[in-house]
Amino acid sequence: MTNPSCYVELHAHSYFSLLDGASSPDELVNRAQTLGMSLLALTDHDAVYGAPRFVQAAHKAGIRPILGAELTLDDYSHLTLLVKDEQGWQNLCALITAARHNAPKGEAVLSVGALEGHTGGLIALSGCRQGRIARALLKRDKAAALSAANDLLRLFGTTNFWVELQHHRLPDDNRLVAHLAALATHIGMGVAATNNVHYAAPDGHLLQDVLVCIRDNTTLDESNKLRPNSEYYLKSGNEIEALFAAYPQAVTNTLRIAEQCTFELQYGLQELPRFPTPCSLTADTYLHQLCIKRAMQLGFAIHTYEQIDYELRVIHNSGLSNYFLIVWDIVRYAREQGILCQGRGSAANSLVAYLLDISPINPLSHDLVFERFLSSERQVVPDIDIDFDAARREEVIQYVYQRYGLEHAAMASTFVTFRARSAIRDVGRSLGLPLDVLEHVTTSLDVHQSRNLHDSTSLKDALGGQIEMQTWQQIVQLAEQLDGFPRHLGIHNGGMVITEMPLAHRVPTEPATMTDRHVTQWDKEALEDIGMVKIDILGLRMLSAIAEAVSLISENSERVPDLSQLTFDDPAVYNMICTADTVGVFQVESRAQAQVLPRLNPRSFADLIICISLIRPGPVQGDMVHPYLRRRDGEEAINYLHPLLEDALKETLGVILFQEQCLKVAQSIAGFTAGQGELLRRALGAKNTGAAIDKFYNDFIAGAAAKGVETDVAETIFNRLRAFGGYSFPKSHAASFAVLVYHSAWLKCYHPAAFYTALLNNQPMGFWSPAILINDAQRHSIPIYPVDVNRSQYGCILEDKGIRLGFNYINGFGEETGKKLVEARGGAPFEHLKDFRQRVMLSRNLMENLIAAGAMDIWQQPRRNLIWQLATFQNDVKMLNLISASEAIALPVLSQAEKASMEYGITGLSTGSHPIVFYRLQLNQHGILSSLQFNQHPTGNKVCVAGLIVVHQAPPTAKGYRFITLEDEHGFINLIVKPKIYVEFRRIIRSASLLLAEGQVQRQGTVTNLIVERCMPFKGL
Amino acid sequence: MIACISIPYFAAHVMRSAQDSKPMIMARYKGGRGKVYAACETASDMGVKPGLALSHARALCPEAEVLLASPGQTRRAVEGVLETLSEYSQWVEAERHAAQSATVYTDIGKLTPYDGQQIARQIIQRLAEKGFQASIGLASNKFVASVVAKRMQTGSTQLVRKGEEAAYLVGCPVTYLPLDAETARRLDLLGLRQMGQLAGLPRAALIEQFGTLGKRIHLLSCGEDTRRVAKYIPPITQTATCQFDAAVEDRFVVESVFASLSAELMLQLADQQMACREVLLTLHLDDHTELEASGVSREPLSTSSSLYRFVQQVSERLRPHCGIIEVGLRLNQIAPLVPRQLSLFDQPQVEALHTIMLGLSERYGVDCFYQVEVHAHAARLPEFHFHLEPVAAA
Amino acid sequence: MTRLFGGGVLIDVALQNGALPKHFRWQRRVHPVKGVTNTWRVDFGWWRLRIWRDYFKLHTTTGLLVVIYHDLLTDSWYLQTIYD
Repeated sequence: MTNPSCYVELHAHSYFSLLDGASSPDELVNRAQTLGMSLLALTDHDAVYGAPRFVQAAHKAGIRPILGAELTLDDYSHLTLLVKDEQGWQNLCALITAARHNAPKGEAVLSVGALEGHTGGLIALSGCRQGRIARALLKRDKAAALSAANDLLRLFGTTNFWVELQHHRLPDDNRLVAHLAALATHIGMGVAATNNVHYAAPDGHLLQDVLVCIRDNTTLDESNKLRPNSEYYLKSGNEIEALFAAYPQAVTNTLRIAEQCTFELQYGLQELPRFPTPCSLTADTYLHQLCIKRAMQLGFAIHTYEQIDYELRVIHNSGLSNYFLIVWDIVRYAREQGILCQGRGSAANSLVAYLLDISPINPLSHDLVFERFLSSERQVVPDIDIDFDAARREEVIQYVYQRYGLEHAAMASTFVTFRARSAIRDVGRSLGLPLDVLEHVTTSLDVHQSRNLHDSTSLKDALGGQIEMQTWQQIVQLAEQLDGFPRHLGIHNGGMVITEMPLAHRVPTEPATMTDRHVTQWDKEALEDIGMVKIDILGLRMLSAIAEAVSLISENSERVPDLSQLTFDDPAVYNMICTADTVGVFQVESRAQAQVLPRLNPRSFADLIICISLIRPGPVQGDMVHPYLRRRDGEEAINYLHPLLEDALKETLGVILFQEQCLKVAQSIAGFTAGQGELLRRALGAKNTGAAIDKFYNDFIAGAAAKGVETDVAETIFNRLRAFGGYSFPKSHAASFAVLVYHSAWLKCYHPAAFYTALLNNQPMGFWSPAILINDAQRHSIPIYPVDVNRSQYGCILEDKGIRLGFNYINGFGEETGKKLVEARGGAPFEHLKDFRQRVMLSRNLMENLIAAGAMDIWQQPRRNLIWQLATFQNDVKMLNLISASEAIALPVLSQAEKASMEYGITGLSTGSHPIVFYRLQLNQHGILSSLQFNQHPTGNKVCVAGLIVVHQAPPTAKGYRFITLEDEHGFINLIVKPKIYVEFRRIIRSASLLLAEGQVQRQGTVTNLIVERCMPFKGL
Repeated sequence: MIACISIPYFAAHVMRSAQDSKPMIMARYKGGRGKVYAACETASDMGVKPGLALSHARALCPEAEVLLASPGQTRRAVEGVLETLSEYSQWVEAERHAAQSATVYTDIGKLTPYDGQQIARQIIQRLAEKGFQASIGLASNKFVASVVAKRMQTGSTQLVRKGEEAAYLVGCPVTYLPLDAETARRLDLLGLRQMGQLAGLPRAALIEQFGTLGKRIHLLSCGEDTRRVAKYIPPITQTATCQFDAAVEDRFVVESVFASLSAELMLQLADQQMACREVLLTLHLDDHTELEASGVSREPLSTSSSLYRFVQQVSERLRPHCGIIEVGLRLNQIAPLVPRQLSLFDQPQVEALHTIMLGLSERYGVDCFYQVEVHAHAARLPEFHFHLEPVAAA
Repeated sequence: MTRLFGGGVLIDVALQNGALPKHFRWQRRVHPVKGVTNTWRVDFGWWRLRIWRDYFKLHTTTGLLVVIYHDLLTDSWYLQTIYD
């Protein structure tokens, strides 16, 4: 630790000065702590993105944080502002908001006039070399410098304006500092030394140079914006004193300034808009009324009212009554507009949320725990997440903006951060490496976070000996340092913040890419740290598909299905799920699910909840899946380490699967309150689990002892929690999703045509491509009709108990073009190509696509002849009544295989036979099995199969194993490829679309896999 | 009789040293993005084709060595082949853009089939001695000869007799025709995949469908090609070198050598009123390796200062890792600086014309008749291209 | 004529207070420093060849106005420029 000095760094940039600052706020704070500093300012460019994190880190280090920003004025000069008090903070937020809304996205420009009336509570420093005063002096324009100084003096006053001196050992720094100091003396102002810090330690300049190149999309060799030396780090007081030996007051003044900046960031819930209640009821009372009314309508038993009261009390104590009413109002609006929606996540643990129709789950029926959502012990205010029909989500967002006003509502931002791939690509480009080399290296990168690059084996494999070269060493080191760095700002997927006062009083906002949207400068984590609550208005395409399916059913029949009345107990639906006939069904259609469902054999809603929770990376990694399945199959005994655990774990046969179970275990064994259990659960899932969990250990052991549980048993249970708790899944979330699983399965079971049509019209979604959905529909005896110029609409429609594909599946057909065609058709079908050409102005390529897709087959003319005719139209030969030379052309006849191939090329699917059908005879002759035959084979047999590759997965948890699914005309064949086999046949697997695979059958119950030993390309047949 | 010599994977042969066994891809870069310029046979078999994005090519053939393409080196190798063939005929011509494969035509005159095949075998042998594996097609026209050559295995030759061209081409794929990507796509869509199918269609119908290209591909599919083989004109080059007694690392010294070599070469060109456009710079290093870079200037280089500046630009691509012992400079694409104008009159007629012009200018005024002198035809502004002088004053 | 010595000419420099040059030896002659007009620091080119130097523009009692630099990587001193 250096000798304490009175120097305070008042001008520092963190990496929240995007692609400019090269240290995190934490690194700056740590450096300040090492230097013995007790105060530090953060002044990122036109932003306070990092303020909450900086404040948290500073407090932890015992340093008083000073907040501020470096603003860009309309002449592109810089001005450093520091916040003294609450008024200063509000003014700073207002100025930043104004600057951001005055420039394109990602930029900020503040008109000097905007400073008027917004300088209270702020201290201004004249800025770096880009400051108006310094800039003028560098141009030797003393008059301009003086004028600029006087302007700032007038705006901020004599006590709140200081001339900023910086010395980075540049050739003209001595002269500039002298002139600035002289000017300050001339106008009677003080001077303050700063170092315009861009990185914590001197070696940070490497990364800072690279960030500048990434920002400017140039290379280190070509950039002319790199700083000439490495002096822009957080210096000790002694170093600064040495630089400003001639101006000691510049150093001491920094402390004088810092001492005036006493602003503390306000934590806690924002003041929410007061929800208008009838008869001037308070929010608490109105909320209570709504809940009781609904409970009575549902005929709830008496004891449930105790739970209602309890929850309302906690909600009131947390100051969230208004929040619940706001959410209730949004959901009410959506339902009135016929927009499907439902809550998800931890809110499903709340009975109040259920009674307000926010959540579809009655927590009492599913043994959920309210404290998983909200408790008096929990410091963090939870958000409520709601899924809406994706196609209509924007209506809901606009409703919120209109109801509360643009100044009072904004989306939460999110930071797109550097990951391993983007870090290597960007750093490599800045070092001048060609893109293709970088893409080659990053394509098969086996690490996600760039901090793990030194562990990457794929990197070493791709580079070989080159990895020892200086350039690649530099790339890896710098890319590792970029881990977690924000790259640019995005919009959080649906999080909205609403406030009573203008939002800009609390946090600045800036425009998003989408028009009429703006975002807060704090992301989800920062908002949570501050304690502000948001509402997550999310879009879910499955809701869109369900809504559309219901609409199609009601258009085509007299009965309108009311999914809300379904009782989740239809055996036919569960039969379908248990046979893994789940293509298109929400959450349970994946290959992994299909492997497990026949074993898991779900027969109830509770089973569906387990299905959703079990097949996740977490439980797979935590090794919970197989123990559960073995117990379910009766292969393993169900035992509990202590009888007290039975209540908590019996629904999952003794395996910890749900986050709610962690709370219950803590309650049952150690007597924790549910709230304390939730805190333990959060600690289990936190990043640095060790320290966070340890503090619960003693309480747990002591509580267990008080309940008569032996210490060693308690320790074992606690270790189990430690091992599995971090991988558990929220049951409430799974329960909400289980509703959609059941609804989508029910629709597939009873109204498959409408269901598939809706899925096809709401792509992209789900696990499977449209081609697979089509094939699955055909296997369910649903006719699929090709696109037809006389029958199709833009989207797919029901027709004759089948599905007519829409123009949306023709390459190049947008919605406008599709609607134009339908309009031109009107009520009169197109008679022939010329008729079509005359009535619909389409480009030749689009017409060709229509012909190739079979959309004009209705005229009974060969497709090739139609395509040939297209060219003759352009010559207008017929208009001259000349005989066209093309009239008698005989072109080769299109085979069925060629037709299918043509359709695939244009639409991505084929309504005719599966491509394998064309080779089936040949395959049979060679003894190659179809999926039907394969799935009958006993385990251990060596067989050969063939199919179209439709899935190729390489899960990170699978230790190099690959899972491939082939499809033929009858269904799927699942392949498991060991790492060594994959390496040997990688090229074939990667380049083939049709694959032959030989190996051994592995059968487990009704699930059959092929353990691959050899792969061959199709043409090798 | 026209012989078409096809040398597949030409650029790879040019770049590869004898010991190389790894697959090879040659790439060119633009804006940081690489594209395949040419590939060796092994890489081609794995799907690497010219024009493919390099990242895609690497994915197809990860073990391939990627080298920076050197079109200049490829072109010089083609020149070498042309020079060899010029010993057999003065009518020798290379197809442009030799990279993946080189295609050269030579008109070997009226020969019997036997003699023609003999000559072809000799040529194959000669080229094999130079390290090139060629196949040769013999026919009455360039197109048929080229199809024959490209369908043969290297080291072999085949003759298509006059009158049998159409029959030969019947089963040949249309990919041998000079098609742009869109036409190729449409032909495939229409199921027209063999030249026999095209030949069987009415020419007017193909013209209607594909315009003038339709006529051309119909003619070619019928085995008709009227293009002649051009006469071979060997290129003019000028070379200068400078050797150092001891290896030099000082950039200033090397650049002063560039200046003196540029001056020396430009003196030679100036004497002949020539300019050059291509420069090949070779640095021989202390460790017996060589670095080479070449460049083609947009404007002809006709002064030593412009040549020196261009050489400096080209040299920036080279990064010598040790001392330089020799600098070599070679100028290619040398052409007359000033366009030669055909003289319509002989000397007595020129003098008589001058006398007449003087008389006319006396009669009508000295500012009516001017003599034109071409001054700097490469100058950017037209008014500097020539100089006008009144006849009377001349 | 101002002379620029490319990469610089190696010289011996004695320091005062461990920081500023006191005198330097060049061409077998000692040149005591009369005054340092300007100093600056360069740290550049780390991705190829790092150049990390402290420059001093100074005049000597022997009547020279020069720029010398201290190569911070090799701890060597060089004479860069002599002004006329």
